[in-house]
Amino acid sequence: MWHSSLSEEDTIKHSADKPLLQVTDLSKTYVRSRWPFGAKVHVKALDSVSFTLEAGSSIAFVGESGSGKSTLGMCISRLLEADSGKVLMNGTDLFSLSGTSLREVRSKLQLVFQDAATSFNPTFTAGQVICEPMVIRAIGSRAEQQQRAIDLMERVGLPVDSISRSPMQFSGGQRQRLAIARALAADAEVIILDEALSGLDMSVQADIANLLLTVQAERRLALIYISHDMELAGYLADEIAVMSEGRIVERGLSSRLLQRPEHPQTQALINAMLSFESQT
Amino acid sequence: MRFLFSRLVHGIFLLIGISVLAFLLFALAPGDYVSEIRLNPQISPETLVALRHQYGFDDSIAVRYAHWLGAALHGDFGFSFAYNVPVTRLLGDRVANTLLLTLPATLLAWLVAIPIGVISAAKQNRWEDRAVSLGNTTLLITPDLLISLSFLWFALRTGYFPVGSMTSLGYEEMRWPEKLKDIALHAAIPITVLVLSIVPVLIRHIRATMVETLQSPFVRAARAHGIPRGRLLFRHVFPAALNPLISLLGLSIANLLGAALITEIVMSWPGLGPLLLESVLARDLYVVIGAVLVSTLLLQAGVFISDLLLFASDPRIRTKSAG
Amino acid sequence: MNSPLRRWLAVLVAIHFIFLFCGFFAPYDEAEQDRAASYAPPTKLHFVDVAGRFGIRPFVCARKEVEDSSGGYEEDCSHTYAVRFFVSGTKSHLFGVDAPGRISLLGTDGLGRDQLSRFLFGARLSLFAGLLATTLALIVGLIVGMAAGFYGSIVDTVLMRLAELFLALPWIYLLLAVRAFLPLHLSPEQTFLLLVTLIGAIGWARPARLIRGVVLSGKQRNFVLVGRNLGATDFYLLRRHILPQVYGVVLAQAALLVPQYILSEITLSFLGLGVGEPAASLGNLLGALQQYHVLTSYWWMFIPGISLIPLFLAYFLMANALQRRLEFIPI
Repeated sequence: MWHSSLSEEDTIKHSADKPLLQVTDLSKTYVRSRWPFGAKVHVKALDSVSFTLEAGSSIAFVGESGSGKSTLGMCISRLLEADSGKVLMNGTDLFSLSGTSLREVRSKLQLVFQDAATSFNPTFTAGQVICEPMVIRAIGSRAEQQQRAIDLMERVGLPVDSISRSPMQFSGGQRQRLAIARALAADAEVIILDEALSGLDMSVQADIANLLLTVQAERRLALIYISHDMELAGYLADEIAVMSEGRIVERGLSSRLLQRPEHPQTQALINAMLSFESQT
Repeated sequence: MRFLFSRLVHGIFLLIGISVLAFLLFALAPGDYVSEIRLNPQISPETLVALRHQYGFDDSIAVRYAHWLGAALHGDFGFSFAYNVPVTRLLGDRVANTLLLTLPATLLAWLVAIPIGVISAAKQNRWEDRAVSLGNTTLLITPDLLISLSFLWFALRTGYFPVGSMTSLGYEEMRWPEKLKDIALHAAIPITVLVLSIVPVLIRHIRATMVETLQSPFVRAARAHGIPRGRLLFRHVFPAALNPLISLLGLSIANLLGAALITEIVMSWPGLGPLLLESVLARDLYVVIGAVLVSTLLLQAGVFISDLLLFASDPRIRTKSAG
Repeated sequence: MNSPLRRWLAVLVAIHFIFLFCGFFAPYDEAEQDRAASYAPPTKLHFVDVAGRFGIRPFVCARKEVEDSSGGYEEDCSHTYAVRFFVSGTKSHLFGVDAPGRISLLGTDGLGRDQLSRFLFGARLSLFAGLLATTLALIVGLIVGMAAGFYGSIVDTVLMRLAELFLALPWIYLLLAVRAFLPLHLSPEQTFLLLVTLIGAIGWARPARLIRGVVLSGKQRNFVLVGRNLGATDFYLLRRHILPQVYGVVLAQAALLVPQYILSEITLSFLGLGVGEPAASLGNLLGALQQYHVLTSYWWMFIPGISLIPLFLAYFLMANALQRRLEFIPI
């Protein structure tokens, strides 16, 4: 396979210098109260989650809904403020930054959502969507931006003549491709894919999975998959972390985890996958 | 009860905020009562200086506000320069007169709006509904000013109703049943105008909430049980649609007070509206502030009463605040 | 854009166009008096002359006072004046008659001024006061609402508490109260600007609250989050991603507020707190009706008031069409 930094079965050897992304003890608690008199309810969405990720490698967080995996993506990218913990990107603490320096660092870390349509401004054309990262950071002239957008559309397999169409007219698969193209236009080093392949047809899923694997290899991207689908996670990611109630309950190389699960939650997720397969 | 209490505190803070805002404007205002009467040649410059001093126009605005607030807490809202009486007494009479119009108008408007709104919802999109909607839209877009003027024209032309004040000449000599009749005759036209100006909004809301309630599952179940239509509408559907309408009661007070101001001025009814207008024209600023605070108070009282009704009618709110 | 919206928009644009060029459509200037014709009824247009011949060009008869000294007027068709179109005197007018004849299709007021001309000039003032005040209120409301919704926390609390103060008393009372602290005697131009500023400056609270609500949910949408994550500044996010989401609410509010603010100007002028004589406003045209003898004797003085009904109907229908469009399109 494509993993470069793997040595033995269950460990990933890290290079001596700083890893690309280092997440330490990330915690987030939601406080919900029914206004104005209800008792307060504390929900632990993230409970001391730590992991590291090297350039060119990938990790999948798998869990049932409500296990905190989506909150993880939001907290790493600082779209949600975590209660405690650290996110180091190339050694820089993302949480301590603000203003211009934050804006520069956070663009290296991009998100692709399950329902990509919601991540496009409905008044934008496909071309404007891809150009947006370049427009925001004022990279290149208008013509250069346009040319790069065309190149990226070709790269992700979108018809170039759809550049001035609204993404709302695209199919589900095309929208995911567009979202990936935008992340590439931002020169992302880490891409978080939040259920990005769920809800697509099997064949489309396979196409996009292969696209992700090739661009990952080409650009030494670090990918974080957030998914409920063990099989897909195993196919895409080097490493799988199983989440339950905000904690990582089991973690290991994908091949090992799928064959020899240790935690009951992992077993349950694999069983769910198998029973679904036997039905179809 | 905590819910009601917090609403009460909120209302008090609003009143304080409004009074601070009014005094800030007071400080910025070019000219005052004294500069307005300076045009009168009969008043000597010495008197003007004395008046300025007496009214405290030479003090800083903070000092004046502190004085005013201290007095207001004892029920003294300052002095009317033009009428030469305490603002409190002036306002007391005028508020009573305004309530004499607005309370019966509110009652009548709801009595008219409920059956029309309910029937219009029950006959949704049939001719009854369309007729109501047409009449409603016409009333809605007709300014209160025009309604007032038309009715004034009607009263003057026919002579059936006295206009131009609250009482006839010789009112003082009448015995009380005649006094009552005299006031009722004078109030008839302004009340009609007020009813017409607030009723379209009420009908629209009643119809909308009724239409929504009619689509809920319990109504379909009740229909299936064969409950007679009239009974179903007024005994089951209407009470279920009541809660949003109670909130409307509080909100419609703002509309009502606005319409009352115009109507009172056009009909020369001695209520809060003409008083406010006169005091604006005469720069009688303590009266302006007093009238503004009283109208805020009336509006907040309306909202508070509708909160109380909501509290009484909705078991969910009661139990929530108990816990 | 769907068809009812387009239709009512076209109607409103046409109406405002006519009033904007009132100097052309009106036969006389708003202040031009004819003391000999106080409260003269509308001039009749004739097509058939004394000899019974029909002509395509209408003419009017001379006006003379009734001899019984009742103050009324009657036609004297021994002198006739043909109606001319596109007449050019010192200013060009759509129509007019040669002096000494006068044409007043909506009658005259107490000073013998042509009511049609005063209506056209007055409507221009009232309508454009409403439009400008709405623009001002919406700009302030937009800035306040976007700031409160986007930044949240303390900014939100302070701005919305402030807005509450402006909503705590009935609109017309607020208007009168603030008017009380402003100078009373000003030139018509100054008064016009004062009224526009006054209405706009205290009208922002309601649109601000609505816009805040839209921004509050709008800033959580994924494309805004992605934009933020791409390193966009707040200004970029507000301009490119948030502003397009509030356009619909702003337009719907505009259609509701313009008639309300036109009416506010009319009310203030009616009460003598707005634009004063000799300048015309729909408000001071209606103000003449506060005198009982005018109200009961001269029916044509009511026409400017009645004309508000179709105008407000057009606004009402457009607001409805906008509202319906807003419900269908989620952005």
